Amino acid sequence: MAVKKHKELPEGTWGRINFQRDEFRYWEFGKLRLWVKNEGNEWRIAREYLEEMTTAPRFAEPAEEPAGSAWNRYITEKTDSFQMKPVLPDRPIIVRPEFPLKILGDSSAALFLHIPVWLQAVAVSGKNELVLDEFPSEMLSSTWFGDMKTGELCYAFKEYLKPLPMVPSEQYWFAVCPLVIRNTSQTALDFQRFCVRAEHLTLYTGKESLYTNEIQVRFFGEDQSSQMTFASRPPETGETMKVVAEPREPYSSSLLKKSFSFLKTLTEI
Amino acid sequence: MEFLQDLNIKTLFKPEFLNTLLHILIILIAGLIVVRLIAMIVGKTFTKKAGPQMKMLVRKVIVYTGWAVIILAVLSELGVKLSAILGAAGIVGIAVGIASQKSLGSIISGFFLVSDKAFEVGDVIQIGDKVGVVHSIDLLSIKLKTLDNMLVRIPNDEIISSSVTNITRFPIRRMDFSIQVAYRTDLNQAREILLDIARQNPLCLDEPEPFFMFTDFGDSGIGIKFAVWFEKQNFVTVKNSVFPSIKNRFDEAGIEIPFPHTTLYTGEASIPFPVRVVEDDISEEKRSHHDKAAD
Repeated sequence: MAVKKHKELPEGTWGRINFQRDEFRYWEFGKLRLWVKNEGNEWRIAREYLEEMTTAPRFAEPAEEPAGSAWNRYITEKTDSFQMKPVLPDRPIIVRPEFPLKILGDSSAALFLHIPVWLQAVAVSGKNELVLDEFPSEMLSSTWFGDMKTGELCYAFKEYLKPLPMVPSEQYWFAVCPLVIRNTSQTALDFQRFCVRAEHLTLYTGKESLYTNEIQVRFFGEDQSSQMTFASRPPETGETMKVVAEPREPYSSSLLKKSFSFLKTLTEI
Repeated sequence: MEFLQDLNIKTLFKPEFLNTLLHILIILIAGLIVVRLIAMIVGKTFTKKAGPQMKMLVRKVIVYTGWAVIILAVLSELGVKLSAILGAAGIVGIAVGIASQKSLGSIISGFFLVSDKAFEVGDVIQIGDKVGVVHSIDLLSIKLKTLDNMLVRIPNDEIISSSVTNITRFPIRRMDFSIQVAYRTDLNQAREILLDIARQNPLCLDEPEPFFMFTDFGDSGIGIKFAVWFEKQNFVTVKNSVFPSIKNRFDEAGIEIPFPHTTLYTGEASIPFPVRVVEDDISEEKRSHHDKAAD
């Protein structure tokens, strides 16, 4: 599928929009189609999913009322404007290395991945922001990470971990996430799946694409939790970046969590 | 009991009576506070790591015992001879003990059940043929709210000797489908279709992977066991989405889900029993009979 590459994000893509009463606006983002209508103290949002990714993304275009769509209604106090924000998914994402990847003891690998972005509909009243709802740009299937007792529910993603240099996504609905894995153990790290803690990441927007802060993972051994650190600034791409979404869950300087899944773990299930 | 016999309007205003009344009031208020305090301290310290059921049971034991002590103290203040009551209570206790063996068994079983941690309030469990959400775990019984909204009381001693299935203990579950396909089916195609159904359904988990196995050469077709993993709360939705998907995708691919049937052979394999439609012959025969009768 040929996807048209946009060099720059359209002006005001993530900015505030002044809606007239009874006005319709339309977004097309990934597989998601959204219609938003302002009815004074009420916002209405209808959504649909396309079979394939859109080839022509659209942001807040004036639109007609969609035929036969089911509207979700959101009653609010009087709000001044509307904002569609990009946010990262609400659960961790499981990705696999593109090729069988073995990181030897006392070595590190610099990788990156693309994370699918969601849209967050926000009604704005002065300084107050009311989150109306969130919409995935594509429906991700769920997957289980870890053992049956202590594991957790995550999203499965078909994208792979790729080696650097970092390539911005051709599509707006993916954020580029840099990742550095350091194997501090003496054994080789040979993993099947990696758990990206998207809920702790900050989302930045550059001119061309969305980015997250870098994740640094220290691997101590198969039976031990890995130490995860999240960089406090955006990756250095030469672009000027600004924060568009703070982490969903705040974190301390580093986290100790299970991050890798090995063949042994999978066959235990 | 002299106190009760002497009770009349005049005595109500005597200082002795008011004094006794004040004592009773103090005992009740202080007793209530002490019982609650003990229950709270025990709840926050000794049973800190215990589950909600154990906490509830310990609390009930403390409260009931506390109230028994308060009642005895009040009776004593009223001039009732406790030695006689306790003596009688001993005899009654033996009688009640014999009569309520099952109840006592249930209470003790309740403690074992709670310490066993096989289920908690809110879990969906199956005991025998009864399935429901655990509504409460009490001293003598547990109460199940069945899926059709009925309350079932099951004595603890009955549960302790039965097998209990906790359906919602773990966050994910596996749903099994037993399917049969006709003998002429392309088995690889059937396998691909089933795995694709799981892949396309966002409620089916990617990992653990769907399970697929040919099970048997049945009377009517080849048996397949197909299983998908899902989040426990999606049970009905997954069942109602995967089930029609299998039927529709098999129909689209021309894969027959066979029903029990028998093919008769005339001694030679794969050549079915010859069947000839004779309806026209019968009609012909009837017609000639009719013509003859008319003549």
